Amino acid sequence: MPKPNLPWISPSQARKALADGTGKGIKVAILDSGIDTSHPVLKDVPIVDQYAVIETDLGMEIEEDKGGDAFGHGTAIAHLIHQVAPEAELGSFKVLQVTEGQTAGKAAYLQTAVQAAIDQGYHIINCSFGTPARPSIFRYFKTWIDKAYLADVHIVTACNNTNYTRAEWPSHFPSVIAVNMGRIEGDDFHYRSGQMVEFFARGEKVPVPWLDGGWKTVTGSSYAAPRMSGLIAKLLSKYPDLSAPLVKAVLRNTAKPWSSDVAGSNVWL
Amino acid sequence: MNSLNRKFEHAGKAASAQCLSEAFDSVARRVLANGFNRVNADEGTLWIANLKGQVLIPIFNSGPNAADFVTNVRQPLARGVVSMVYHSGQPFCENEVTKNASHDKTIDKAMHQVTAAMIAVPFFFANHARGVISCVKLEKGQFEVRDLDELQHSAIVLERLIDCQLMESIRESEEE
Repeated sequence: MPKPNLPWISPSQARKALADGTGKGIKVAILDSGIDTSHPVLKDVPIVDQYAVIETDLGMEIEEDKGGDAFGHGTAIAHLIHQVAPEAELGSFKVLQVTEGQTAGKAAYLQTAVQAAIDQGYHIINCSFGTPARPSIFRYFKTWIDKAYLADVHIVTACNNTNYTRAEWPSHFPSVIAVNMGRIEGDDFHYRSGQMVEFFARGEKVPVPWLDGGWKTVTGSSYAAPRMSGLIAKLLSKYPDLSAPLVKAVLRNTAKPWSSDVAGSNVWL
Repeated sequence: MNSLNRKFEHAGKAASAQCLSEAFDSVARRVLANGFNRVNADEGTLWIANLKGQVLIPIFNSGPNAADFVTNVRQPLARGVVSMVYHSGQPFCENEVTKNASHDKTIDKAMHQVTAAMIAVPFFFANHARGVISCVKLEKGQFEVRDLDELQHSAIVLERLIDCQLMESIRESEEE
């Protein structure tokens, strides 16, 4: 059922929600390489689900994941969301992985994970990955991005790490919130009009937890997207019924204006 | 999907299974070698994922022990930065390899070397991600994001070369 028309919130209400919100009551799905829950820094993080998408004779299925994190990437993403929205509940949907005898393309794994996240009431889906925008795979991406849009589930994505104007999916779909890395401190975020990737958040030289209890310093839009997911969780924890397009409009109106000072290394000035 | 596209993707799959073989000609080698030079890499590698998706197989390496590398090294797709790039589709720059306890040391051990920094970009042909191109600096040195962009340019040129070769082979087989 479509939601009734909801009142607009003002930029000042949004700013207050972004400052005071904690993410409480909001679920964020992390489509990534899994989460290493044994990492000490994740001890108090509310990770409520851990799933893996698997391929069976009957098609794609979701099962409980006991495998932790394949690469460390998903662990980093979970930490960054938690840093911004400490009370948001996180769910891991492992899609960046290898399964024995895998025949389905990555798109099939993504579709399955997104559908499961929607079915389980997740409000935000963090996608710190991307692939060059090719006509041959367009419909596979459009299917799940449109499903999320129609369910008012907010998709937050990374973009191309070498040139953010290079067309990629999912970041170049207009219904998603696409985030680039910037030289930004803290939780500030910036808006630049005229590009498919509109938002900038901290993504350069970010210390993150990785595998085996370790840490590393990383740079990339992968690490800017979860910051934005956390901010949206804060906003939704105060105004849970905001629709996906309204959240984007609110973020545009509350972001700091973009300037070359915050441009990440993948912005060619 | 139309008939030509089906043939194209089939040709891509077949080329992957054969580790590119004929499609990876001297021009393709030069494109890659120039790309490695432009980012001042000590060594660069083109990896192709095997069809079962278990390992990345090096099919070209620019280092001093290239023959040994290509013959003996296999990177499991379940671990390591290069595999993460293949799965996430995100280019990656890692300048603290030696500090990173979780760095997969399989290759360094096999080749008796110490990787200081690495960049890697996904490699596509025939419409799909089918491998990774990586560069390393040994012992010391760092890469910059500009180097990633440079390497991605090389990956795109190489993709177009290989796609052209595959299309040409389809055209030739239809003429026979």
